[in-house]
Amino acid sequence: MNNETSYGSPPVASAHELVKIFRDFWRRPKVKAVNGITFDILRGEVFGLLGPNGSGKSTTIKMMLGLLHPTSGHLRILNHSPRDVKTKSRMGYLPEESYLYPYLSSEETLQFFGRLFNLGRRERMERIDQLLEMIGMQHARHRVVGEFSKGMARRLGLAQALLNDPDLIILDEPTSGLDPLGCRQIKDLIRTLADRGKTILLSSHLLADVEDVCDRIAILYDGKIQAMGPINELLEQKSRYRVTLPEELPPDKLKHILAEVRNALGDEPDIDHPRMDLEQFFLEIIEKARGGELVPTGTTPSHGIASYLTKNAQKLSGATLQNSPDHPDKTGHIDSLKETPGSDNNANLRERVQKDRDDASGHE
Amino acid sequence: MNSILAIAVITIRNAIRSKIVIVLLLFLLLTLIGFPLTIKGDGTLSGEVRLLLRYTLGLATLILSIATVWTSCAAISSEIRYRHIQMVLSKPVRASQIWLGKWIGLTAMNAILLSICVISTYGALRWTTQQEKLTEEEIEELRTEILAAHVPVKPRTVDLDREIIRQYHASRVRGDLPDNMPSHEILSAIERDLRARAYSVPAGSSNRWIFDLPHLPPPDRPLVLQYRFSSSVMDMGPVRGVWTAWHPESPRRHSETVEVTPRTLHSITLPSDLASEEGTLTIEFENTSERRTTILFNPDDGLRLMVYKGDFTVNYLKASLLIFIHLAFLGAIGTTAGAFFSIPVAALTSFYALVLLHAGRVIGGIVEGDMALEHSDAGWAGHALASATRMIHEGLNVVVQPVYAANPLSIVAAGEWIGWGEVGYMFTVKIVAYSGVLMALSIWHLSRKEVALPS
Repeated sequence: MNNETSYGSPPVASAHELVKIFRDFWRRPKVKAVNGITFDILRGEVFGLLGPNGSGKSTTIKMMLGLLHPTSGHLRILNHSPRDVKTKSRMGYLPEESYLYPYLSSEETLQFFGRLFNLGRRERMERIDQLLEMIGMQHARHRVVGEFSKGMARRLGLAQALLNDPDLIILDEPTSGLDPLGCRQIKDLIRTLADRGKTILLSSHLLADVEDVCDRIAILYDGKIQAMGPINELLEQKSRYRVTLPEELPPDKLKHILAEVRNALGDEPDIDHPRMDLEQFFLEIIEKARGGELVPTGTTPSHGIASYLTKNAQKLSGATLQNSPDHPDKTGHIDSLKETPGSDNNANLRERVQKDRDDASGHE
Repeated sequence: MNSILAIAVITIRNAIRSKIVIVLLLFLLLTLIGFPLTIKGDGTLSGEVRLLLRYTLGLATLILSIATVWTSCAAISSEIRYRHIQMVLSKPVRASQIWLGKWIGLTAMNAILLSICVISTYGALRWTTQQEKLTEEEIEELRTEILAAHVPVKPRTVDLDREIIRQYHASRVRGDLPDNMPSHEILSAIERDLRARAYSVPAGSSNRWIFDLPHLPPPDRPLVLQYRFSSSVMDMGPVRGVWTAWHPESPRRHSETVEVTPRTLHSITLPSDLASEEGTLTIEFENTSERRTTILFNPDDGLRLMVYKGDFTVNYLKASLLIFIHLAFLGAIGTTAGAFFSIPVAALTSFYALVLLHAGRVIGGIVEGDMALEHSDAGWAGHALASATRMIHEGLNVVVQPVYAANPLSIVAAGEWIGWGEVGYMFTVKIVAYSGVLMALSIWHLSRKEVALPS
């Protein structure tokens, strides 16, 4: 059991030989949903749980939240039992579906969860304002959840998961029900939160989502981890190479290079034009159609992150953020979601994850 | 505390927005306004007031009780069913906070709805008793008998033990005792006979009883003798008699001739200063019926002297508090059942618990009268079954008796005093002890329950 990572801090979440068996009314084993999985989630990484429906992703997450109890194995979250109440004040959870109260408005929903986190009234109100602005739902502040589209409910679910400024954020199918614009925003937010020191566990069966945001992934099938590691390493095809030539290369120069390659290989190389992915193409089209502004349906423009989420990131990583509370943006609340060029936080984290991965590979 | 209040507020908010409260309020108002308009009383003002208290408010309370059981069963159960609880339990919230939050929310809602019923009934009662058409006699009767709180006093019990033994031996000497009858049954038959004689008055004779008043009433508050009897003749015709009250050290006597029907509650008023300074009063009834009719006062509640103790309004408030405590207790039963079972199963379980609670007197009677079924002819198995049956009844009796209580509205309607001690006792037993145990059970279960099991 690896209790400490190579850089000295314990893993944020650690599972060892975790098993979950669902039983029938007579306590007879019915389904082995999770079958002896072992993994560590490190501070500051986005860890993806990938797998088809019924592979054990949600069961694993619910065990991490203390909503289900492992049949056997060992599970520690933030160095405590998942059922420890205090641990939960440092966790945020977005479930796979909206389990919000349909009779409450957005503000009442966030007020309720804020009170469960024992946030003071003033702090609660400030965070609610920032979060509603962040998810672009200030206009729906007083609308009841029962009237929301799935996408809006999802955004509100995400807001409540971030209300307590958690160290560990568990997102179960975060982009489910969102349109491509909403998906992009959520993915940007996940990446930004990770860059600012948050640890994120993401469960999804949408491969593109996982590939876009995760540092490491575990692929589950039939309750077992079939593959696990840094995403780049898993996807890298070491026996094949891709050569990228500069743009606007003069045709005669290209001909010359190709002739040299042909000559060296003694064979004709495969040549085609690079393609942008469909998501990127779609977003560009919509951006043009809307006059340069990308706003998902049912929301108002927002490209920021609640400033209180960045305060904690500073505390965690010691990194300087471009839009720190001392240097607020024009709203005074929301920091940019875009990559912060002045910060090497992201690179540091990736390095840490890589270092830990190298160390952990021996363990696995 | 913040989490508990947050859950309580959400519970109230959900109940209001899901229209449960509005519909319930509508039903309650319909009952409070509609019931008195559709039901005819016995034609007297006292009857009308009793109807208002016992039946109109009683029915509203019954509706509130059923609604409480149902909504409290749904409180945690629906959270599990619709998976809201997954959001709550993934926050730093303990099972105890969920239970308490739900229960406090429901209890607060009950407090508001019950207050509406209690205040509107009180208003209707004041309006009924202040109409100009009422005669002074009616108002005085109301003031004396119902709109006041009395302590009911039963006649002094006579020590029958010596007489029972004497009669038993005398019968044995005479050879009157049946051979196959166990001695304890003979003793009990003699006791029943003597007790009946102590409360019976044959035609042409009289019987007397001594009452020990706990305190002397104020001069303007007369004593009220309430009585109910049955007759040895089945035609239910009126019985004539003379009531006389006095105390031995005083030459003053108060006599009143009555002609009353059996099986109905009657009353006569006696001057408040008729009893001795120590509070002793002798009351005699002479049966002057021309027909040979023996009358029998019920030994349990056939003769009661009502002694003024306090104001009606305070008494009414105490009755309302007892109802509120009972509703809170029902809420605890339902919330606990909902933590264990789905809504329909929880509701059935709660209603079964309610039936057992209301059968407290019956269960107590079974245990005291040793009425548990015997299976002596079935050998050791029969004995084992009989022992088990007796144990079940005794166990039930231990659980049910502390919370069994007469309907507080009937008590107030009868003009009886409710002590603060009783209110405190019911609060301690129903809220602190029983609801506390139910809460502990729920916490134990919820903290072990897997709330995210696939459905």
